[in-house]
Amino acid sequence: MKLLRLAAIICNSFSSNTLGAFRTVQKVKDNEVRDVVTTLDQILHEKAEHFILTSMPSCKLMSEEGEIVCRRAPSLSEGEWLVVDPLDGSNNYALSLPGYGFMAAHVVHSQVKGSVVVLPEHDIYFVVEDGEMVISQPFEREHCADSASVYPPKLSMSAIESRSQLIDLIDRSSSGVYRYGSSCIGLYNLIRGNHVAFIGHGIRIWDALAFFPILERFGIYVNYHINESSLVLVASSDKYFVNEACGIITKNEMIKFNSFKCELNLQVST
Amino acid sequence: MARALIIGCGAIGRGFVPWILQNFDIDFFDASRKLVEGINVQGGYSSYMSDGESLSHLRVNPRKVTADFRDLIPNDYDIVFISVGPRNVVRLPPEISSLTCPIYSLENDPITVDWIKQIYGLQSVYFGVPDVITSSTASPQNLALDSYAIHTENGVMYLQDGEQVSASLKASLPEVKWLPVERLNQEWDAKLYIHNTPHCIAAYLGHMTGCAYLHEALAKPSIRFVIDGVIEELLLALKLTTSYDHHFIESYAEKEIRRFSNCLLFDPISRVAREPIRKLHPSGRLTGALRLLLSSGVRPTYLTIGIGAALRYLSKEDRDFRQIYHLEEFGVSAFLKYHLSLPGDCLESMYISKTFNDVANFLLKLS
Repeated sequence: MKLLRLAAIICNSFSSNTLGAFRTVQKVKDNEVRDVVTTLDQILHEKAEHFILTSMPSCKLMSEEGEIVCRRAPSLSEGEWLVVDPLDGSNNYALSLPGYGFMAAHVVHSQVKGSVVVLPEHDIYFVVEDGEMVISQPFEREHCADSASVYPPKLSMSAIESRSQLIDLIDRSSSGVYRYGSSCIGLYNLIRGNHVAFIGHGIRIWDALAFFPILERFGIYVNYHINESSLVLVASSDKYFVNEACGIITKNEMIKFNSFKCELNLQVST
Repeated sequence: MARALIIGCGAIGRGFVPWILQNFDIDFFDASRKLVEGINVQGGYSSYMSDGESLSHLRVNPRKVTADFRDLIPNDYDIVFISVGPRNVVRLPPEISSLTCPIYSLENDPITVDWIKQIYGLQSVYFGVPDVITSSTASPQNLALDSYAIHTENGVMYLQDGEQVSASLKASLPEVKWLPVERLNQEWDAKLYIHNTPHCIAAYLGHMTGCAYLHEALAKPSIRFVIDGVIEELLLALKLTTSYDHHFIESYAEKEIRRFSNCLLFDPISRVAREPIRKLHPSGRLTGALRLLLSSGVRPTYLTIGIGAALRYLSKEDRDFRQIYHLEEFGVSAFLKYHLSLPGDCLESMYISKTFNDVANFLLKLS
């Protein structure tokens, strides 16, 4: 398993930062103080880049910290890609708050062939490759409760209307909204059964794509919409919730959702 | 006649347990359809018991052997034994919830009793310690006669006494030693540390030197030297930290090397060494033993050699091979954290990480 090697390298990198020296903020993106880049973001990005060079030379890197020209979702339809969020939850990490992790999705000609998720605070990694999933420690799904939602920095008026109705739906269907500042933690809590749903409303493709095959293996319903640069994801163990949430977004924002299946190509709207 | 169900036709379930159930009708359940069909076609199989010098033969003729639990009648039994491997306890058929008699977990870890109770909603679940070495196979000669033959030594079955264990059940199991839970814990510590720890270390060292069976490993003076050292360290720690009778643990230790060296057992290295990550669990025979030694002030010189050998157990057929194959990329500290939840700053992790390079050099010379 090539991707297990990537997981090993990333686990090692997280563990080597025992003194917190990698928390230093190197830059702030687009004047958004919550969208920071730490030293660890850069180190993990370089590790992913080196991994590709040495283990998957025909693969291209689409990374949150990579060049903007390589960060277009339509590019995924051609060739082999590793879509990486080196440090999801960078702001949490910089502030010594909980909630961060590494995600990488391996996409070949629009199909998600594998993925790596490393969550250092939970001592766990997930690797999906060759139709098989390796989890570093015994992992039992618990009973469902609550909901999770992730907020993007900027929203259109129609998206704000969707957001308002989604929060209303969540309040009716669960004990409330949880917001972590890290989609990988929200998605992890979904597969653990701590949440009944995850809504990524206008997040970026690297914020969640690595979880798609993992969610499928846990029997979670996954509906998504990908356009040029953003992803809307509704994932839940409750099919009716997925349908209702997607209905709200579709009505307000005129977007079409697709169901995720590993064997199907990702659908990208242009 | 009393009736028993054995869940798991592996080494202990198939090889040893039938020897104590000679007054019983026995049913077997195993998830392997191939194994079940094979035994059914033959109408049974042979188990051979070694006293160290010769083998006794028992032809086991089960009443039923099945891979489908629905073929069994759950309230038909007087006693049930579960011996499927600790990792598989959580994946038993849900129908075992209907069992009504005392159930004994022979899984080398008392926590499995709680797991079985919780997952299947059962109450009368107890712990048992089969103090025995049982191979998962047999000598080439006996395998030629019966491909399902198995060798075991003449061990002792310790079972926890409990409220639901009737006098008539005890009377029908004269070979069993029934113990209260406190005394069983003493047997368990003795088995976990003095038996299981050096046993698996001998297997890891044997693998590195190209041995196929455990008795071949013990025949090598360099391995024997390390195993003697491990037992000495464990004995000292147990004497310092427990109130166990010193004579009991010393005599237990004395017989261990003799048992490991039994050349009639044909105990495969691959069986004893399997799943090293599980054996490295903080409560288990390797890291748990390290914790015991460090907390009692005993320097774990030989034990760390064993732990190093476990971390270098590269057998392609083993379930943990893929993870261990990437040990270097993980780094020892991250490997222990992500697979065993051992924090990088805990004493066991720091000790293993610090000594790993020296141990690796020693092991290179050994192999």
